[in-house]
Amino acid sequence: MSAILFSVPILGVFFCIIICSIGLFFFRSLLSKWINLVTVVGLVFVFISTSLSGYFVFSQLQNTKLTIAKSSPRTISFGVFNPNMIHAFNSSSNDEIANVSEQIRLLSSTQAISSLKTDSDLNSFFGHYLEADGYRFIFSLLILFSALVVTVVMGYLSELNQQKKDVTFLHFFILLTTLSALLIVFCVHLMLLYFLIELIALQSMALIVNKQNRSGNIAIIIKYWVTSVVSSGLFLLGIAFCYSVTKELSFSGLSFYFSNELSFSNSAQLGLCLIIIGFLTKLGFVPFHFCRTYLSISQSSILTLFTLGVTQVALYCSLSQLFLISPIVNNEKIKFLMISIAVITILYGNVMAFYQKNIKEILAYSSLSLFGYLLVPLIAIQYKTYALETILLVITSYVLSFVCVYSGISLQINEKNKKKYSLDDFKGLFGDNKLRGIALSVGLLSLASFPLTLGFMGRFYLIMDAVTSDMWFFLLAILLSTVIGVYFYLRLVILLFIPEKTEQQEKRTIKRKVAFYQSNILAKYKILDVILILSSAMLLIFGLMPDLLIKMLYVINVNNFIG
Amino acid sequence: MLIVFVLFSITAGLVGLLFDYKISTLLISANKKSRWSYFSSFNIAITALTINLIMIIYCCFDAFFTIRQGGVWLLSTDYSWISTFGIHFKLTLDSMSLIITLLVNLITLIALLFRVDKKNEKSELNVAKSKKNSNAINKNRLLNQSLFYLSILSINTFVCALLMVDDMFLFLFLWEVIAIPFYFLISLWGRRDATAINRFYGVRKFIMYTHLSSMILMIGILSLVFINWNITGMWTFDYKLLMNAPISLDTELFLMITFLVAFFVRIPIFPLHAWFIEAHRESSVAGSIMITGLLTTSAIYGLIKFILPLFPNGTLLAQPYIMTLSLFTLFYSACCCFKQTDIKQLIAYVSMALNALMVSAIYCHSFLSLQGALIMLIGTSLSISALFAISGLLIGFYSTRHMDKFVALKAKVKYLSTILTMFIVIVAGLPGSAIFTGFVLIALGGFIDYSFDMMLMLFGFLILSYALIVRLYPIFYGDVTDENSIDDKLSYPTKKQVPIVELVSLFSILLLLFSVGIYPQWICVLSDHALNALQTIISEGQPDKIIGEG
Repeated sequence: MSAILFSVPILGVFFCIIICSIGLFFFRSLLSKWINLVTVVGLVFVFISTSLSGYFVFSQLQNTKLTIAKSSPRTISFGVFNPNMIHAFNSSSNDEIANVSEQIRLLSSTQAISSLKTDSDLNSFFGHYLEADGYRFIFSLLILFSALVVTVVMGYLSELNQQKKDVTFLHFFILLTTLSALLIVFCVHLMLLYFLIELIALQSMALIVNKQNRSGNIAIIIKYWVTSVVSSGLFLLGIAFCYSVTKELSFSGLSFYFSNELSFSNSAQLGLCLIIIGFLTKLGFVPFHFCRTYLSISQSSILTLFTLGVTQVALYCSLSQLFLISPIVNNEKIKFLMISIAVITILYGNVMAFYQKNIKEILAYSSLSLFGYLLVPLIAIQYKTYALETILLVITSYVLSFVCVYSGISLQINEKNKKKYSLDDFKGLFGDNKLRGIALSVGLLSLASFPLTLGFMGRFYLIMDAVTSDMWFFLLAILLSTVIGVYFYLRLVILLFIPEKTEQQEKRTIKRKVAFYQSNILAKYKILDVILILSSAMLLIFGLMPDLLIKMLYVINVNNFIG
Repeated sequence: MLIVFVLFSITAGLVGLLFDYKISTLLISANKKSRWSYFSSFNIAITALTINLIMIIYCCFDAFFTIRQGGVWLLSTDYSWISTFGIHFKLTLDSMSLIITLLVNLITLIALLFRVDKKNEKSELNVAKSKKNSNAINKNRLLNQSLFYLSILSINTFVCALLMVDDMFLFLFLWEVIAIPFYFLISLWGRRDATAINRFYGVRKFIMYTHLSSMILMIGILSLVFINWNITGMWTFDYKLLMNAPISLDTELFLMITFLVAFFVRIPIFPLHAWFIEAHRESSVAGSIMITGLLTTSAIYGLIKFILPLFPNGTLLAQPYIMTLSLFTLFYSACCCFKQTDIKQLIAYVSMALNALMVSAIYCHSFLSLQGALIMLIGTSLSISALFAISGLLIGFYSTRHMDKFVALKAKVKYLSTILTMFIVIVAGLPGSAIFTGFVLIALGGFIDYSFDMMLMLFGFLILSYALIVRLYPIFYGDVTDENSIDDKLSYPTKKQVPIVELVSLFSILLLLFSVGIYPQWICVLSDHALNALQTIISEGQPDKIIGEG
C-alpha cells in the first residue's frame, strides 16, 4: 500500500525527465517555450497525483487501521504524537527512562520486523531500500512544490532574458536533482543514501556551472566540490564504523541495534558522530558553512531557492530520520555536538546577516540561522513527542516563505534588469506590483516569525519544545537571534512600501510590462502571481488556523506508525 | 455577536482598501466624478467606527441597567483553535473591559479625525480627476491612504480583542501582532521632515523592544502552561484555569518577572522607556494618539486583568519594589519635562509620568485606588490624546516642532489658546475633571496603608503639573513685537481659524472629561464586580508560604 506513496512521485518525475530529454536530444529545433510548458505541466500533474494518491492511501489506512488501534493496547511509537506516552517521556527519574527505552526497544524491534514483512509485492521488492510514511510523504510534497515553483520562475526568466537552449538543459538537470532528492527522502538504506548524496552533489554542480547562473567562476566549483567530497568521505567513514558495530546498513536495522544498546561503544559513537557531521556539512551548519553561504551569495537567487527547497529539505529529512527512528540523542556526546552546533549556527547566522548590505547576503546568512532552529526538535525528541509536528510545521513554513521571498526577489531583479541585488532595488516594490509586494512582505514577516503567519506558529512550537526539554541555552539563542532578525527583516519590509518613483520611471515600467505581457505565454496567464499569492495565502491561512495543518500531520502520522 | 463586533473594524479597513482600488481603476478609465467616490476609505472607516461606538454605548447602557438590577453582564465567544494544546479562541467582554473598549474606540475616532494627510486628500482626489498624466501616482497614493486607515483600524481590532481575551495564547498572539500595524503607521506615515528610512531608524527601537519583551512573555506563558500541565496533566491556556495552578513562590516570581518585563515595556516604566520617546518623536499625530490611547492603555489594563490575578503572591512580595520603580519613573519623567524643546517629546514624558502614577496606584492593593486608577486611565488617555491633537494643530500653524518658536498663540489663532489652557489645567488636576477624581480616589484608597508612597506620589504629580505649566505657558503670551514684528503683522493680518471638525471634537473631549469627573458612578458600577473579585484574590494571597510544587 505504502509503495504507492513513493512510486507515484518518483515515477512521475522520471517520466518528466524522459519527456524533457526527448525534447532536449531529439527535437532540438523545438521552441524552448514548449519544453518549459511541458515540464511545468508535468510537474503540476505529478504534484496533484502525488497528493491525490496520498489522500487515497491515508483514507484507506484510516479505515483499516483504526480498528486495530482501538483493539490493541500497544499503540505507542517513538517520535510520534501519542497522548498516552507523554507522561512516560517527560519523566526525569532514571527508572522511568529505563522503562521508556524498554518500550522503545520493543516497539522499534516490532517496527523493524513489520517493515520487513510487508504484504505488498512491490514493497518487498523495494523494502530494504525505499520506504514511505506520512512524514516522508509531506517532505516529498514540499520538494515537488518548490521544484515546480523553480521551473515556472526559471522558464519565465529565460523568456525575459531571451535565452533559448540553456533553460531546457537547466530543466533537465532540475528534474534529475528533484528525482534524486525524492529518492533521498524515501531512502532507508545507508549505502543507497551515500550514492544518492554523491549523485545530488554532481547534479547540483551542473546547475552551478551553467551560463544562466551568473557565477561562472571556477572558485565556486572548487569550493563546492572539495566540501562535498570531504563531507561524503566523512559520511562513508561513519557508515563503515557503524557497520563494523551493528552489521546493519538499513535504517530499521540501525534503529533495532541502537534502541537495544543503552550505552554505545566507542566506534558506534564515532560512526554516528561522523554521519551527523557529514550531514551537517552538506547542510552547511556553522563550522562548515563557508561553501553554503558563498554559494547562495554568488548563485542566482532562484537556484538558491532550489538548493534550499529541494536539496537541503531532502537532506534534512534524511538526517531527521536518523534521530526519529532511534534514541541516539540520549547519548551525551552526540547531544553536546548537536546543541553546540545548533546554538552557534543560530547566533552566527543572524549576527552576520545583521551586518550585510545586500539582500542576497542577508538571506543567505539568515537562512543559515533558520536551519539552525531545525536542530532544536531533533534534540527535544528525547523529552517529548511534539517534535514531529514541530519539524513539519517549521519546514512547511520555511519552504513556503522561501518560495515567496526568493521568487519575488529574482523576478524583481530580473525585471528591473539589476545585477547587484542591493537594497535600493526593492524600494517601492509595493507601488510597482501590489501582489508581489504583499507576497514578499508576508514571506519576510513569516521568516521573522510575526503572528498572522505560519512562521509564528513554527516559532511557538520551537519554544514549546525548548521549554519542555529545559534547553535554556536554546531559549537564550532564539531570543537574541529573533530580536536581531526582526531588525533586518523589517528594514527589508519597510523598503518595499516606501514610494520612491518619479513619473517617468513609472511610465517606462508600465510600457515594458505591457510589451512583455503581450509576448509571453506564461506571463499572460499570470501563473507567477498565482504561485506567489498561493504560497503567501497558505502562510496566512495556516498561520491563522494551524489546526488544519496539524490535524493533517496528526492523521497521517498516527495511521502510519501504528503497528 | 462578539466576534462580529471585534472583527468589524478590520473588515471595514479591508473593504476600504478594496473600494479605493475600485476608485483608482475608475479614475484611470474615466476622469469624471462617479458614485464610487463616496466610498472612500476614510468615509468607510469613520462609519464603521461610529457603528462600533453606537453598539458599545448600547452595551454600556444595557450593562449598567442589568448590574443595577443585580445581574451580571457578560458576552463571550469560544471556538477551538489549536486542539493539541487546548488553545481556544475565547473572548469574554465583561462590564469592566466594556469601559476600556469604549475608550479605545473613542480614541481611534479622535486619531482618525486628526490624521495627517487630511488636507492633501481632497486635493489629490481633485487632481486625479483633472490630470490624466499623474494617474498612476495618484492610484498609489490612494492605496497608501487606504493602507493607513487599514493599519489604524486593525490596531483598533487587535486592541479591542486584547481587552477581552481569555486565552493566554490568543493574548500572546495579539500582543505581538499589534507591533506590525504600529510599525507601518510610524515608519510610513510618520513625521513629515524625515525620510522613511530615517524614520525606520527611529522606530527600530520600538520594534526591537516590543519584540524582545514579547518573546520573553512567550517564554513566561509557555513555562506557566507547561508547569500547569506537569501538575494537572491537562494542556490549557485559559487564564482562569491557570490562575488556580499550584506553583511555588520562586517559580511564580520568575514567571511574574517575565510578564512584568513585557508590560513595563509597553507602559513604559523607567529602564525600558527609551523606545517610547523616540516613537512619539518620529510618529505623526495620529500615530502618537494611537500609541498613548491604545498601546499603553491596553498594557495598563492588562496589568489589572492578568498579572494581579495570575500572581497574587508574587505581587504582594514584589509590591514595594514595583512601587519604588514606578514612583521613580514618575519623578524622572516629571524632571525630564523641564528640559524638553520638542512639544511631542514633552507630552510623551507627561503621559509616561501619568502612566507610572497609575501603575503605582494599581499596586496600592485597595479597592478604591483600583477604581481611581481606572477612572484616571480614562482621563489620562483622553486628555493626552487631546494634547497630542493640539500639538498637531500647533505644528501645522507654526510649521515647526520647537516649542520656543511657538509665540503669541492668543494673538494668532482663535479659540485654540483657551482649549489648550483647559487641557493643561486638566492634566494638572483641575477639580471636576476625570484625572482629579481618579487621583482623589487613588489617594483615598492608598493613604491608610501606604501614606509615605502617597505623599511621594502627590509630590511627583505636583512637579509634573509645575513642569507642564512652566513649559507651556510661554506659548500664549510672547510678544508679537519681540522679533520680526513687522513681518509677522503683515503675514498674519487676521487670526487663524481652527478647522470646525477639530474644534468640535476637542470640545467634546472636554465635555467627556468633565462628565466622567463629575459623575464617575457609572464606571464604578460597571467595574464593581471585576474589581471586587480581583481584590478578594489579592487579599487571599500568602506571600510567606510556598504552596504546591512545580
